[in-house]
Amino acid sequence: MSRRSLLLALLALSACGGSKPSTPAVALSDLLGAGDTASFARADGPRDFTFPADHGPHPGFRTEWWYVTGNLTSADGRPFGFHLTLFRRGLAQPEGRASDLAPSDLWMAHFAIADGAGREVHAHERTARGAGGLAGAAWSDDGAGDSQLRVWLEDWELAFVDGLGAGELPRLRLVARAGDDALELNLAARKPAVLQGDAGLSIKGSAPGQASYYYAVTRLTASGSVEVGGETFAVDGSAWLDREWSTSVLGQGQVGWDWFALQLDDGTDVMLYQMRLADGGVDATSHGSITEKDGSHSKLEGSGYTLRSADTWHSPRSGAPYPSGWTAVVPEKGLELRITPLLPDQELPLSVVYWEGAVQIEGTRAGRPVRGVGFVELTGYADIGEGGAPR
Amino acid sequence: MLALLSSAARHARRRPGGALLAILGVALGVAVVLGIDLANAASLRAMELSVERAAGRATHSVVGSPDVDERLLRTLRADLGLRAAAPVVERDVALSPAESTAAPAPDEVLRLLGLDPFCEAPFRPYLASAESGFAVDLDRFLASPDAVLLGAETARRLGVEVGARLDLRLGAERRSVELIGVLEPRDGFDAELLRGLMLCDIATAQELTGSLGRLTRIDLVLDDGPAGEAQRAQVEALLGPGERIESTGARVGTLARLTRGFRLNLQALSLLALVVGGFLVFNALSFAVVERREELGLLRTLGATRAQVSVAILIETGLLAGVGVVLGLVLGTALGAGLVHLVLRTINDLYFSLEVGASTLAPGSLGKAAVLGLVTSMVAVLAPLREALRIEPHRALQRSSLEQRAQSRARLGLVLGAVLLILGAAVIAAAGRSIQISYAGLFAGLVGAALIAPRATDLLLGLAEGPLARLLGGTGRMAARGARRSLSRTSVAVAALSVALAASLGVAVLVTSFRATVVTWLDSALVGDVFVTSPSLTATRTTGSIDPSLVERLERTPGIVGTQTFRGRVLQTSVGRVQVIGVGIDRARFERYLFAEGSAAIWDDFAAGRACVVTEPLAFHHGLSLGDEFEIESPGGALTLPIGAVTRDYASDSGVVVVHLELLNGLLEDERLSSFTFEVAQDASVDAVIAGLRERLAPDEDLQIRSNRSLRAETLRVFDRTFAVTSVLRALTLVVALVGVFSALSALGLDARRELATLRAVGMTPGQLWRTLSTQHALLGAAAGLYAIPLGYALAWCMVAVINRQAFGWTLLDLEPAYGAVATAVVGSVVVAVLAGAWPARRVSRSSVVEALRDE
Repeated sequence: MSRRSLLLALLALSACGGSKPSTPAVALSDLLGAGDTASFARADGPRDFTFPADHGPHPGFRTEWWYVTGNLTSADGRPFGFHLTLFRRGLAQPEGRASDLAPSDLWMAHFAIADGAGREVHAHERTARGAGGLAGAAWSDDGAGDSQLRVWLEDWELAFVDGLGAGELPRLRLVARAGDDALELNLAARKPAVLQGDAGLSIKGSAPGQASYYYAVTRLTASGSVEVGGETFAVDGSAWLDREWSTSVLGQGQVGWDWFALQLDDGTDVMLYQMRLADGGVDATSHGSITEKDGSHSKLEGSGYTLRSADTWHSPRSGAPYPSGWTAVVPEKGLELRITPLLPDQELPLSVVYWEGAVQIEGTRAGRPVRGVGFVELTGYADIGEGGAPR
Repeated sequence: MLALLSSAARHARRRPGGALLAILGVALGVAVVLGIDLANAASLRAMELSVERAAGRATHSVVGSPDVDERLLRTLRADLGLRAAAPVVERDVALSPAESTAAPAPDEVLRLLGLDPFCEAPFRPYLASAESGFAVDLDRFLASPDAVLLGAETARRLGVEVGARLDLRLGAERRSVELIGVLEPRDGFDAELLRGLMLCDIATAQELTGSLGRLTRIDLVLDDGPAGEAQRAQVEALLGPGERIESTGARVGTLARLTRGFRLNLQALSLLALVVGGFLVFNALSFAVVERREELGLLRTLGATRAQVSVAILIETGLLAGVGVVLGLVLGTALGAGLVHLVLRTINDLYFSLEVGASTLAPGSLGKAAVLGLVTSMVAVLAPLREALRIEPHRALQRSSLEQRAQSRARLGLVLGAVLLILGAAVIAAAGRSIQISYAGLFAGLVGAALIAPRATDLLLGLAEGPLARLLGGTGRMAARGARRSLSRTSVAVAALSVALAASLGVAVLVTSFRATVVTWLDSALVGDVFVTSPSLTATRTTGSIDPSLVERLERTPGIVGTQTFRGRVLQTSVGRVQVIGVGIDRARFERYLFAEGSAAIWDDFAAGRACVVTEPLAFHHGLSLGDEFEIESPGGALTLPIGAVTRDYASDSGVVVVHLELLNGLLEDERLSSFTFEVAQDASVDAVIAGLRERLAPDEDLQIRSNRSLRAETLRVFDRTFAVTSVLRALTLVVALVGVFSALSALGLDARRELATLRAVGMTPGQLWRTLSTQHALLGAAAGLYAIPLGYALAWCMVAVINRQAFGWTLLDLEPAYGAVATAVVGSVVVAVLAGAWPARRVSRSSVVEALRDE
C-alpha cells in the first residue's frame, strides 16, 4: 500500500517560507512520481525479511517510514489518539563528500495528539537532514552484545530497545515533545510482524516496480504519559507499527488512499485500504489483511471487503471534504464494523494536508458483538487536484 | 405606561433630528472605540512585520576563536531542544572571470553563505522570496557538492544564468561551482540583503572553504527576560574551549523594544478612544433628556409618577442606545477595516498587505465597545433624569432653573477636573514600572482635562470677546457671548471634541516621533556608509580582533572621507559587568550623539580620557547621573572616571559605557578593533568604494564589508509602510472628532431655534443671523481646537517620555512638532463647527418668526 509516501520534495519551501501567505499544498501524486529514482533499488520481487535487521533502515530505497499510531486512555477515562511518523527520503548522493553535514537522506517527522476531551488535534512537523546526528536511523551496540535501533529526528525518537533476538517480540520506546505537547511511551509487541501483501511485497499498481515492502506489528501495548497544553496524563492503550520502504509508488491516475488499522477487543487486527483513482474508482490492487489473536494472518483481496462512508466532513481550513464514519464489511470473515472518528476534525494542517485520526469501532464478528479502536488515514483530499484547486 | 411610551414615540417622530443625533452620538462613540482597536491591531502587525524584516531574528550567536564545533548544533537542537538554532558558514570568495573572457576584469568578491535550509525558518526571511518561493531543486542544493544560488540582481550584474559554472578563488584554492538557481527578492530591502551573497548548503560551504567539522557561528533566537537568561546559561554550559555566546546586539534588541513601546502606546490610544467614545455617548444622550425637561415636567403635572417616567425614559434610552450600538459596531468595523485597506492598496508588497489586512480584533473589542455604548448611555440619562424628576413639576417647565443647575455643574466639573488632573499626574509619577497604574493615571488625567475643557474654552472665548467686537462689531461681541452662554449646554460636547482632537494630535505627534526614532536608530545601528567587521562577529560591538594597521591601509581608498573605529569589551565596573565601548571618533561625530544630559562640551575631557559617557538605560537602571564617579576594572588596573554625559541609546537594554578608544586600549594593554566604519563622499558610489576596499585586502584577510548607506535607506522604506498604516489612526480620530463636533453643534443649533427666532423678531436680517451663528460656532470650534493642542502634546509626551521610560528605561526622541496635524485639527474643527451651524440657521432664517416663537 502506498500509504505514507514522502512529502519531502518541498521541504525547503515549508522550512524557509514558513511565514508565507500562500504556500501551495503539496500535490501528493507529484511528489511520489518526482525526482531521480534511477539510482535506487525497487520493490520488484519477493524478498526474505529478516528481523531485527529489517526494523532498521534500507538506504538502497528512496522512501521509507516508521509509523506508530495508537489509542490511549488516561486513568480517569480521557481518550487520546496519537501518531508519530518518521519519514526518510534518500538523496541521490554523489560518492565521497567530505563534510559530515552532507546529507544522504532527508527526514521529516509528524507528531500529533488527538485529545478526545479537549476536542482538538495538536499536530507538529519537523524536518532535518540525515547528517551530523540531526536525524537518522542507526544501530548501536551497548557493549554487552545487545544492539539497539534508534530512529530519530532531533529530540523525537523511536527506539527499538529490547526483544530483538530471534523469536522475541520487540519492545520500543517513543519520545516526542513540541512546545506544551509531549508523548513518552513504552511499547511492547504482542504479535510478531505481519508481512503485508504477498509475503511483504505490497503491489500498488500495474507498472513494474510500483510496489513497496511492507510489514506491520499490528498490536503493541502502550503505557506512559501524554502531555497536552501543559497538562500531563498517565495513559495506557494499544499501538500499531507500520514499516514500509519503496522507490516508486503512486502511479498515473492514483490520487490518494483511505487506510484503516483496526484493533478489535477479541484480539483480531484488521488492515484495509483503498487506493483511489482519479476517475472515482478504486485500484484493483488494493488489499488488506486480518491477523488473529494468535498472530496467524491472511491477506484480504480488494474484492473481499467493502468500505462505505456514512458521512462527509468539510475541513474549515482546507475546505477539503473528507469521508467521516464508515461501515467495513468482510463477508468471508463474518466481520461487520461501524467505524466512528474520535473527533471529526483530525486533519493535520502540516506541509502536506491529510486526515490521520483515531477511531472507535462497534460491530459484530460472526454474529458476536465486538468493539475496538483504530486509526484511519485519508490522503489526497486536500491536495491540489487535477483542476489545480488551491488549498 | 403605554401612554408614556407612545408619548416618547410621538416625541421622536415630531423631532426626528433629536433621536437621530442621539443614535449618531452613541454610534460614533462605539465606532471610535472599535475602529481604533482595529487600526491598532493593523498598525501593530505592520510594525512587527517591519521589525521582523529589518532585524532578521537572531538574538544571539555562538561564535568561536576562530570557529565553532559543528557537533554543538546537534547538542543544541536535539539535547537542549532549542528549535531556533541555525548553523552558518560564512566567508568571502573571489569570483574569477571565466577563462574565455578576453579582457581580464578584477576579481569580483562575493560573500559565501552556507546555511541549513531545515534550520532557517526563524532566520533570514529574505531568503524565502514571496514571488518565486524557494524555486530551486532542493535535492541538488543539498546533495550536489558544487551547487550555489545567487540573488537575481547579482546574477544579472555578473551576467550569469542558471546552469553556468563559476570559478571561485578561496585563498590559494580554486574551486568550480554551478549556479543552480537565482533568488528573486520581493523588494528593495531584500535585494539589499541578497546583494553580493552566494548561497549554498552548509555542507557545501564547509567543503568549499575547507572548514570540515567547523561552523563560523550558530545563530540563536532566545526568549526575552528571565527565560532567555536561563536558556543562555544552558547554552553557555555546553560550549567548548574558545566558544562563547554573544548577543547580536543593536538591531534585534532595539527593534524589539521599539515594538514593545509601539504596542504600549497603541494600548494607551485604545484607552483614549474609550474616553472619547464615552464623552460622545454621554453628550448625545444626556442632551436628549435635558432637551425634554419641559415635557417630563408636563407629564408629571398630568399625574405620571416618577417611577413611570423613569422607566419610560430608560426604555427609550435603551432602545436608542441599542440601535446606536449596533450601528456603531458596523460603522467602526467598516471605518477601521476600510481605511486600513485603503492604505494597504498604496503599499506594493503583497505579503505585507495580506498579513496586515488579515489582522483581527482582540476578542474583547466588540464586547468592550458595546458595553461602553450601553452603560454610558444609561449613566448619561440618569443624572439629568434624577434632576428633572426631583424638582417640582412646575419648576421643570422653567428654563432658568436649568441654567442655574448648569452653572453649578460647571463649577463642580472644574473642581473635579482639577482634582483628577493632579491625581492623574501624581499616579503616573508614582507608578514606577507598573504600566497598568500608569494607564490608570493617564485615564484619570484625561478625564480631568476633559472636565476642565468647558472652563478653559470659556476663558478663551472671554479673551476673544474684545478683539472680536473691534473686528466684527456687534455681531462679533454677540457671537462670543452667545458661545460662552451656550457652554451650559455644550460643555460635554466641547470636552469630547477637545479630547478627540487631542487624541488625533497625540497620534500624529507619536507617529512622527516614532519615525524620527527609527531614523536616529538607523543612524546609530548602521553607522557610517561602509561597515567593516570580522566575519565571525555579527554584532556591531564585540571584542576586538582587527589589527588597526588594516584601517590605515584601507582608508586610503578613494572616496572615503572619514573613519570611525570601535572596540568593545565586557569589564567589571562599579555597577557590575558592563559592556565598555572604546570609540575612535572625531569631535564632529561626538557632537552628533543624542545627549539626554550634559553636552558635547565635554569633548576635550572625553578625548583626553578624563571623562566617560554612559547611555540612558545604564544611568536609569543604576541611578547614575552627571558627575558621578564610575569605576572600571581591567587587566591594566582600575580607573575611576566622572560621568561627563548621558546619551540616548537604542542599542542595548542593559546599557553601555563609552570611553575614548585610546583609553580602552590602554586599559586592555593592546591595540585591537572590533569594527570600523567609513564615511563615503556624498557624490561617490558606495559600491565602488567597497570594490576598492576589497582590492586592498590580502586573500587571507577575511572581513565582512557591508554598505550601510543603502541598507539604511531600504530599512527606512520598510518602516515607512508601518507609518503609512498608522495614518489610519490619525484619520480615524480626526474624523470622529469632526463628526462629533458636527452632531453636538447641530443639536445645539436646533435647541437655539427659539433664541434665533427672537433675534429675527427684533429685526436681525437672515444674513446677520447666519453670520452671528456661524461666528459663534467657529469660536467654539476654534476654542476647543486650541485647547486640544497642549492637551495633545501633553498626552504624547506622557506616553513617550514618562510611561515609555518607566517601562523600558529609554525615551523616544524629543517630541516632533507635527505642525500639519495641528493645523488640520484647528482648521478642521472650525470648518466643521461652522457647517454644523449652517443648517439650523438656514432653517430659522426661512421659517416664520411667529411659528418658532409659538411655544413661548
